[in-house]
Amino acid sequence: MSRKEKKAKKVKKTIVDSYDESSRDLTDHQAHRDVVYALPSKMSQTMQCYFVQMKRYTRQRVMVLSSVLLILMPVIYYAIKGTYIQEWLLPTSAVTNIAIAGILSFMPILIVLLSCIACGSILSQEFNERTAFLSLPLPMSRSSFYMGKFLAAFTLVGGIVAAAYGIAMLLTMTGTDRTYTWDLFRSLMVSLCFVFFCCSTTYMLSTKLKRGSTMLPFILLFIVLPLIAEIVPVFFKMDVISKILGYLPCFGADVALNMLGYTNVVISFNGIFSNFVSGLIDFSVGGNPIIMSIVCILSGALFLFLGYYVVKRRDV
Amino acid sequence: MKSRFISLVLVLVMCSCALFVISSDDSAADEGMKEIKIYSDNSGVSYTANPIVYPYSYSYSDHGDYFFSISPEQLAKDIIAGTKSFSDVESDPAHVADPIYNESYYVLSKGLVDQRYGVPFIKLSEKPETIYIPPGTYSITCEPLNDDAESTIDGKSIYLYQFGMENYNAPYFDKGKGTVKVNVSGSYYFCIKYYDSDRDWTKLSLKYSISPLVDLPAVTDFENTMTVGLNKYWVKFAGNDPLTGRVSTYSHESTYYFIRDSDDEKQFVKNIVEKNKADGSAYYKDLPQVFGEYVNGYVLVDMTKSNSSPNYMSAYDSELGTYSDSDVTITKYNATSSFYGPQSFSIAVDFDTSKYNAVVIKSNNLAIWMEAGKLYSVNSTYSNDYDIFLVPSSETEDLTLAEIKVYSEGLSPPDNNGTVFAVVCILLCVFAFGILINSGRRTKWGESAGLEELASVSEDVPAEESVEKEE
Repeated sequence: MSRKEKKAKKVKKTIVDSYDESSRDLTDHQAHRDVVYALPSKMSQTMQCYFVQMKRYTRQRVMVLSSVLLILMPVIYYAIKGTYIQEWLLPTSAVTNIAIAGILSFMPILIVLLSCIACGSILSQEFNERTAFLSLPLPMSRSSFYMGKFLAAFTLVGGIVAAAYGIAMLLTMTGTDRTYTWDLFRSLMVSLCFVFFCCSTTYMLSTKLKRGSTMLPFILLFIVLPLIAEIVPVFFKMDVISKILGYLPCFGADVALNMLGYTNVVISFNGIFSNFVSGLIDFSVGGNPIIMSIVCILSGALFLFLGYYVVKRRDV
Repeated sequence: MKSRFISLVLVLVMCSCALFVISSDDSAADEGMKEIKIYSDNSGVSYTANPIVYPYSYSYSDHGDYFFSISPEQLAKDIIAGTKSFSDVESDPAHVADPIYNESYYVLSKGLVDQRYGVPFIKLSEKPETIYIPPGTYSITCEPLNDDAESTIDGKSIYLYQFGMENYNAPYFDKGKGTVKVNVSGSYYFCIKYYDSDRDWTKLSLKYSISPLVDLPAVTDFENTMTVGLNKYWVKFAGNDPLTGRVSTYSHESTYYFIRDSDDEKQFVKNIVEKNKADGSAYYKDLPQVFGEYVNGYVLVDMTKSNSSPNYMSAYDSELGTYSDSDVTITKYNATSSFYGPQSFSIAVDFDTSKYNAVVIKSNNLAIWMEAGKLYSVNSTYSNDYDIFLVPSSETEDLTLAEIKVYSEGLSPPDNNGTVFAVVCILLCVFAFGILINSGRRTKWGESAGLEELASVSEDVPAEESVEKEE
């Protein structure tokens, strides 16, 4: 036996087993041996993306813009009260619904604008900033990622619309004495359906555009689609076509306001256009809120699905 | 977890509100036509109306109001006689500085007139009501107090001297009827020069009427002109649906015309203003909708949208060329009641057909002529307030209260639950913004794209953690 071997044998004898025997007494439950680990449900994933996107909105201009607009509502209302502008803008009526219609006459453009700001670059921004390449490889489904972001945008714009209705209601309650609440709810429902359509359309466009755009969907929703709908009946003088085009989802906000009552000024393409060319173009938006709501939801869902199809096929 | 709980509570609250609203709507929507209470009065289904039928023609009248002027000669006599001094005249410089007729007449103070004539006196500030007249040729008539062109005040015989429009260049006429050509638009009032049996000059405003000859070529008695207030009027054209009817109203601001075109079976109502500038040039411009719908030969003239009062209205049918008293009627109707109608509903009315021809419901963009016992379907682009008008039969002189029964389907009385709606809207807003705020609290600011949150989805997986620890 060499010298080295003797030394090693001596060291080996000095090794003490320090393993804690008590840990061997843990049950399977205590040691988590019977726990099956899995990914959170899709709903949880969606909610997580939803909250993340909501958090991002707190840092974006849409939040500031919407807050300013909501605060401006009562400020402007009381500023013009008793002036000629009020008589021109806000119809004098004892019916709350008509008074609300006057206050909310800016809603058509506001809904489109806010939807475009909230959704116009929501996905393209993720890809431009490369954060999507970090998020999507995580153990979560793309559908959750896609829907979570959309729901956040819809919640934000829908909340603003609901707030606008609520503020308008509070402003007009003191000056009117007749309220038809069910019509108000139906109008709010149509407005929210229109928000769904605008958000989903803009969201779908953001999946296709390399760089997000607010202006493109705004022009499409606020000008191009209504313009087509109003001009086509001039060439095809058929009542059926005119009626069908009157239910294009881009007129959702007009229908919601028309349900409330007549106002002198409606800030929508149809409202502005009809003032300029009144009598020349025989076109009127649809009058059935149920049909308009269904059209908005179906077309919105279609665009939402198209957007998801694009995202799903996208190579990350 | 906390936010989820709050969200769940909010959703439950919203669902409850929605169910409440839906259930309340179901209770209101009974099947079939029903007699409903449209307006929140206590009369239930009956509506009262007091239609006021104005006379066919209207003459302006100022009986009983006087104001006086005195000639310099008379003033000189009085001064010489010592009955008054110039200081009396100058005691009210405003009157002296405002010659009412021409430079040779001055108005005395009230005390002086009372002393001399002992009759009522109105100050110049209470001049007869002026009317605004655009340039044109007008005919004016004057009726004295009595048929014999004389009257007596306090025992003095009053003789008509002249009458005319108060205008420096306008001529005055001795009696009866005259034509006045007005070159400059402006405010005018009518006055009549009288003298009493003592040759004291007085001036009184009496009954007169005015009609512009340019607009009423076939009429010589000018009876189809009336003053109209800030009310709504229905103007009826005679004949079988005339192609072009014209209603002219004159006011301070402008002249309105109603012209009805019948091309392409569409009825267009045009408002044209002929406003005369200071230099005499005229121009045409579209106006706010003073004229409303043309329904069954009637055109609605809404003078509440006019900016000035009084207005003067004349009407004729240019297609007929000539016309008698029955050709044109101008009638003022009161809106008996109003109701809020949705975009589509059905309505029928029942009323005393011996007194009334029809009931008209009218909104901003729609007017429907309704006969008794017939069902009408209303389809409008807008929900709106509808005024209910009564159209009395031509023989109607009974101005007693009228009753209309309204039957409808699709109309509902106001529920006045605006507070519920406001609360639901605010809750929705709180829900959205609550999540916004809560999301900000859940995570740190400044994190990009929420990568950490996405990573936290898998932080409960111990296998990965153990791997990291081993590393």
